[in-house]
Formats: sequence, C-alpha cells, structure tokens
Amino acid sequence: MTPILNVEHLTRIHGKGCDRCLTSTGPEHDTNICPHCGSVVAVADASFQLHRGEVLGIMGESGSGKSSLVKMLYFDDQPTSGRATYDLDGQSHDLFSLNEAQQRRLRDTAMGMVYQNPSLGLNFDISAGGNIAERLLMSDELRYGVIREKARALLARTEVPPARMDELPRNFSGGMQQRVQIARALSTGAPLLFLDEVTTGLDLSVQARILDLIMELQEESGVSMLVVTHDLGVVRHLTTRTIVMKYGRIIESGLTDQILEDPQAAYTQQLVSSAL
Amino acid sequence: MFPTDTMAQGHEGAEYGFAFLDEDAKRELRRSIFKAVCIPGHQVPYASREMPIARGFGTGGMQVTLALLGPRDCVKVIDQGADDSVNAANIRAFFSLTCPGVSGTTLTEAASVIQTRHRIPELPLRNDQILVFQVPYPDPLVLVEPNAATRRRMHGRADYARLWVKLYEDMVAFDEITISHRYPTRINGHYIIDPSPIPRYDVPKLHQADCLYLFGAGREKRIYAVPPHTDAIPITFADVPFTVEEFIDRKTGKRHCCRRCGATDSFLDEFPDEDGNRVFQCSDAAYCDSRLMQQEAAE
Amino acid sequence: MAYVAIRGGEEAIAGSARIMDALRTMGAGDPIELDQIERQMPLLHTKVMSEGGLYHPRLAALALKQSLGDSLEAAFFLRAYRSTKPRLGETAPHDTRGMRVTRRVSAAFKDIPGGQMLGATPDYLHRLFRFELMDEGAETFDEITRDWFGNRPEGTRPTTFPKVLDTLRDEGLLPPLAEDDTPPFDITRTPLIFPVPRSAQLATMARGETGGLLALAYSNMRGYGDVHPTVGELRVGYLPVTVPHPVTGKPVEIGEVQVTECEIVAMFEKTDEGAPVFTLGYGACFGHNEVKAIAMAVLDRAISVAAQNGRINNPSEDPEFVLLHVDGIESMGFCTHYKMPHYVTFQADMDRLRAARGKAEEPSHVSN
Repeated sequence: MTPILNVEHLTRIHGKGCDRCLTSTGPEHDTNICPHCGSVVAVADASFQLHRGEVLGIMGESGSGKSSLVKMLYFDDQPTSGRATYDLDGQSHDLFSLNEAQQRRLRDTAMGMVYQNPSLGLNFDISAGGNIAERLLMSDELRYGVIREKARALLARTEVPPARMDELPRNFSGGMQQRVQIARALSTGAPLLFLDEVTTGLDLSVQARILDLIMELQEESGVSMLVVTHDLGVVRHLTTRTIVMKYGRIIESGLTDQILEDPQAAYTQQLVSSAL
Repeated sequence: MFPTDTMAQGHEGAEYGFAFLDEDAKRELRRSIFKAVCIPGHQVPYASREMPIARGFGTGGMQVTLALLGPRDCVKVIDQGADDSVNAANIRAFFSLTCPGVSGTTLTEAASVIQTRHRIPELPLRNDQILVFQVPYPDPLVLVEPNAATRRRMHGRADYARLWVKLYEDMVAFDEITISHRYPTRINGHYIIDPSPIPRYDVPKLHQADCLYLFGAGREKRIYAVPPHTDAIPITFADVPFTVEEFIDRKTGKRHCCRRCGATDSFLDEFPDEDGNRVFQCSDAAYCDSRLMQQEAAE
Repeated sequence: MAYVAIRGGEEAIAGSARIMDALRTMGAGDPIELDQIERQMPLLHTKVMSEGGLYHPRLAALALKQSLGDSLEAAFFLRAYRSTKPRLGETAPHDTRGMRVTRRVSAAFKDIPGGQMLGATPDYLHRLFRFELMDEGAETFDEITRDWFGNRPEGTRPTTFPKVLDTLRDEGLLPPLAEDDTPPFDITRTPLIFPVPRSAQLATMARGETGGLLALAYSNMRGYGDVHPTVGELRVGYLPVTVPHPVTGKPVEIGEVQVTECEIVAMFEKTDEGAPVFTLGYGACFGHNEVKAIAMAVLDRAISVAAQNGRINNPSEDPEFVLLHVDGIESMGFCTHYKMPHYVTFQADMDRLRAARGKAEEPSHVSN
C-alpha cells in the first residue's frame, strides 16, 4: 500500500548556501552552521514515509530541524531542495511542484496543523467557534447552520465547554487553547495532521489529558499524524514509529518501543537516558 | 446648462486645458479603465493625480469622469442621491468650468455619464449610460487584513474566508449581518469588491445591469468596474438571505412613504422635522421630482 | 438637516467663497505682496514647495496668500496645478557635492574637511520675543541689510564642500556606494504597490508632510525603534539644476533649487560579506526644512534596516505604514471629507442597528 506521505531528500538551508554546506555540517561536525558561508542547515537530505493511519514521531532537541521539516510539509516554509508526495484519495500530489493556490487548497482542506504556540494556529480576535468556522469556510461550507453545528460538535468532542464557543480564545487557558486548535485542525476531516510540540509548556495533568484526547481522536478517525516533540513521554504515549533528528539529519529511525528500549545512536542513547 | 465660454484662467496666463488633466494622464486613466472592465472586480492601480478638490471628496470618481467626458456628453452629478447637495454642486461647477461643451443635467435618463457618491439612481440605467462611483476605500479586505501586499495575494487566490468569518461573528453576536453599507459583493464569481458606501438597498442594482459601473478611488489609487450583464452577488451564507433596507413602520407594519411624492419604492432619507417628528423623503431627488411632475401633469 | 439637505448647494458654496475672500481682506490693511511672503517667510514658503512637490516660488507664494496661510492647503494648490502639466523632460541624477552651500554641520566629527558652517539657524537663538519687531519700518530692513553686507567676514570661503560621509566610506565603515542605473521610481506616474524600491520610499517622503514625518520619526527615536542616530552631515544650500540640451544632449544649467539634505549614521549591522558597517539614512527636500530632512533620514534608515533584517518591529519600520500615511495632501483631504454629508450611510447604519436591536428584544430569541 502506498504511504500517505513520502518525503525524499528534503533539505532546507537558511542563508546563501555553498557547495560545502552539506558536507561541513551535521552530527559528526557538531554543528548545523556551515563554517564556509555561515548558512544554517536546518534540514539536510531527510527521507521518510508516513503510512496511512500511522502516528510517526519526530524527536530531537531544539535546533534539530524537526519543526523546520513539518513547516515545509505544511507549506509554512519552502525547501531548498528535495520532494514530497502526498497521496490523497488515490491521487498523488507532488507538494513542492504545486502552485501557490493548489498548495493553499491542499493545506486548507486536506491537512491540519496544531502549533506549540496557539497564537500561530488561532486568530485570537475571533471567537473559538469563528476559528473553526474559518476552516470550514475555506473548504467552501457556506451554510451558517451547518457551520454552527459542526463547530459545536467539534468543540464538544475536544472537551471545550459549548458555553465558551462564542468567547475569544485569548481568554482561555493554554490547555483549552490547544483543544480549540485541535478542533480546528480536525474540522475538515483532513486525513493528515501535523502536531508540533502540542503539549510543551502545559501542566503535566493537562498534558496527559490532551495526549489521551489525541489518541482517542486518532483511533476514531484513523487520521495519519506526524508528531514533532522533544518529549520522550509524548513519543511513548502517541507514536508507533519514531525518527530521531540532530543538526538537521535523521540519525535513527524505527519502532518507538525499540528506540526507547534499545537506542542505537549514541545521541539517542543520551536522549533516552537523560529522560529516565 | 454649462456655460461654454468660461475657460478657467490660471496664473501667469496658463490656462487649464479641457477636462483639467493633461492628456497623458487621461490616456493612462482610460487604459486603467479598460483593464478594469476586462477583469471585472479587479482593483487596477493607477497614478491618481491630485485634483483641485480634497482627497475624500471624490477625486477618484472625478478623474474617471474627466477621462470619459467628451464635448457631446451630458453629465449628472449626485451626492447622497441629490443633485444639489454641496459636494455634487461643487463637482458639477468644476466640470462646467473645465469641460466646455459638455452639457449638464439633473435628469437621470438624460445623462450619458453620472458621477455619484453613496447612491445608485432609482431609475434603472441603460446600456448607453455609465455610472461613476466615488470610492473612499476600494478594498473590502481591509476589514480583516491591514497589509496591502497580503491583501493583493488574497484577492489573487480568491481567499475570502476571513470576510465570511466576519459575517459569522456578526451572526453570533447579533443574529444579523450588521454591514450596513460598503457591502462586500462578489463580481463574476471571483473578486470581491467594496461597492463604495452605497446602502444595501442599492447593491442588487449592480447585478446583471445594462449599464457600465466604474469605481474610482483617488486617495487609494485604484479603479475597478462592474461591466454590463455581469454577476454581482453580495456575500452571505446559503441559509442567511441578504436583505435590504425596508423602511417598515414598526407601529403600522407598513412601509414608510416619501412625504413629497408618496413613493413607496425608493430609498428614503429619514430626519426629524422642526417639530421633532420623524419624516421620510426620497433620497433620489431627481426621481422624487419626476414623480411630482407626473402627478401634477395628471391633475 | 440644515446643511445636508440644502436645496441649492451652489449658492451656499458661492456664499462661502465670498466670506473666505472677505476674511482675507476685511480690515487687513495693504494687500500682502507675493515677494513679501517669499522673502519674509522663506521657511513657510519653501515648506509649501517641498510638500507640494513643485518648485515654483511665485505660485507657492500665491498659494499661501490664497489659502490664508494654511500650509497644507497651499501645498495642495501646487499639487493640483501640477496635475495639469505634462512631463516635458527629465533631469539626470544630481550630485549634491555640487551644491552652493549656505549651512552645513556634522554632529559626528568636531572638524570636517571644509569646516563646519553654522549659517542661518534658529537652533541657538533664545526664543525670547524681540518686541521691537512689532513695529518695524522699511528703514530697519535697509539698516540690517547694510550692516550684514558691511561686516561680512574677510576673505573668500569655498561654497562647495566634500561630503563628510566620504571620509567614513573611504575607511570602509560605510557600505560602498553601489552603482545603480535603474531609473528612479516615479511616484507621480506610478502608484505605490508594495514592496516598493527605495527610490519610491525617498520620493514619497521628500514630499511628505513635515509634521507627519516628524511624528513617525520621533516614535522611532524615542523607543519604538532602536537607535540614536548621528547626523553625519546636514547641509542647506542651492543645487544647480541641469537638463540635457535638446540638440547636443549636453547638460545645461537652467537654474537652482534650494535643498536641505541630511545623512544620518547609526548602529552597525552585520553584512553578508562579513565585516560590520554603519547603517545609513538619507533625507532631502526642497527648501530649508531641517526637521523634515532629519526625520526623513531616520525613517529611511528604519525602513531599510528592517527590510534587510526581514523583520518589522515598529510602525516606523513598516514601509506601508510610513509611506501611506505621511502625505499631507491625502491625509488632510481625507480628514476633511468627514464633514461632508454621510446621511445615506448613516441611514443604512440605523437600519442595521434597529434590526439588531429588534432581534435582541425578541423574548423568544435564543442565540443559535
């Protein structure tokens, strides 16, 4: 069966770049800044697949390139080179050869994103319901009654009290803001969801409830997820397979259990042991 | 009506030429107008010139009109529906001063070009007539996005969800769409325009009209058009119908009528009379006058 | 409803014009002469040319007279007049090193090649009234003039000077001047569609309204921005204007325009090439208006540096925010237009408010 997402040799260099950027950076050089031209190699030659219904973790410290990777796939950023294909209803979309309108269309209707910082994923000046309405409107739902019902149901499902539907999310707690973001991301029934450090900065008890919610939603809908995190707990809780990144490179990948129990790369061993 | 012998005398003998603007400026305006007609609803940037009336007083509409006028034209100028409100009178005086040969009229049916602020005449316009709107804010997206470069991209991809979110938030707060004028209107299925501050009452007149509608924004330097026989649909939800002002008397349930001509099919101005009573009167003065004349003739 | 529903707006306007004219003349003594405006209020007079974007001393004086001294209105006259004039030709870029300088200071260096030259400035004058000016006669004017010519400093001084910034540039502390043959953006023929090149930025500010530029620049100076700028050089003087001869193509001098020019230097930035350099801001305008030139230079630098860093932190660094709001003719016009009748839109507003209130009053209404 074809993977839902196939990423090949994805590279992102910030700065002018030079011939030696890729050979002069990475874990073995202990840097992601090219000593020759000063460019930052955020992601280098990353290839992986995400299967239908799978939850794949991308683990690494800050600066490892894991967020950059997801940003490109969600069209928040452009890769320097490489390609990615998204298989949607049997049709393959070559993500970076689409024009801007096609990219937007895909992103609005067939992808969801939950950012670490809710202010990136939500408009704080419109109500929680309005934030969900916006996504529905982007996918051409123009019936007010239907929009209202869907928004209410989605918020209820993500455990946001319906009474707060018409309030501005800026007045919500961090956990509640993430629930609204999740509801918004799910609203169009997109088969692909990106989660970028969704529980970072939340209280432990709140974290656990959000992770449970994500698990439940995943099991209900079978949505494929790419989960970016530096938190081993999140990886353990949500994912079946994990890739580990450092200085823009994928240094290890495999079943999550295996990586946590028997990490191969020295860096992964360090990550795992430091968390225990 | 317009004296043909008054050529304005400038300083040092420099006479102001026909239709004030230099010919290059008029040519550029016409090119922009053509482009606007070819891409219905698209805001075409143009090098708006400074006019001898202030920005905000109709310098955009005036430039469009000046670019259109030739000696055989007959022009009508209205503001708030009336030919003799101060701004309309002022602009008409300017045309009469700078466009010798052009005739003026207050009759809607007699005009070849009508410049207007805030209203569309009640009498349906014909295919040999052009209505020129004065536009303060050309871009409907300014409600939701302050950055002009971003707005241009949004228009290009018809990315208007945020405008609808504004309607959604309105419905949530008031159970009504509260936009009273400058109602966002989708032209030919793509671009959404700000139809200038006309009331909702006038918006349906844009749809599949016989005449050409031109919109000129002077300060913001944009020209756009709704050509004849083009779709112009006010944006709304599928299950929330667009409504117009109805002027229903809440006590009697009946429509208010014009105190002068008795019309019950026109946009009405409402104001307190000397005794503090609310009275209603046609906003379109020419329409009201012609009805009165017909009534007199019938008697 | 008095003024809006006037039947006969034309008479009202004619009446208003008559009152304005009466206001200008009634009990006003001798008519003010254009020369008097030009010579006795040169700072106001050149400000009008600068904001009007047209160097026409005589019409600028007439504009001030006709607009009863309102500098915004006067600049507006020049702008509107300009709309009627075709473009006959263009000058080549002019180098201000060729300026006949009447004043020139640098805050960066104690001594500069050619020397500091304080010239005419109110900067160090006490703002104490000289009450004797309340009753001045023509003979006082003559006396002052005679005195000035009689006691001029001995010796001849040069009238053109090198640029202070050339010194810094020679040392590599400033980015080198890039050769750029792109024709400058013509704001009178092309609307601003962002992003715009720097020439559009400079041209827009060069005819911007002094107060508007100052307010935005001041916000950048006092905290909604980053640095304390140093005035590398401020010069005031007369710039000879040349145009290509229609037959030979050789530059021919056709006159001179008074110009104020300011170059500011501020905190350095890293460059792609490596060694950090100072950042620069440039301001120039017609006439003698130092506040405008400095404010413009501060804003030019703020916008350019923000663009280089790809990050806008303050309104004064946002080209759209600055360039779309500093034009006096546009902002004044739009502010004025709110006095016009708006009763159709207000009627529409009332309709919507009543509808919304009606729904709110319905007892059965439940927010859905």
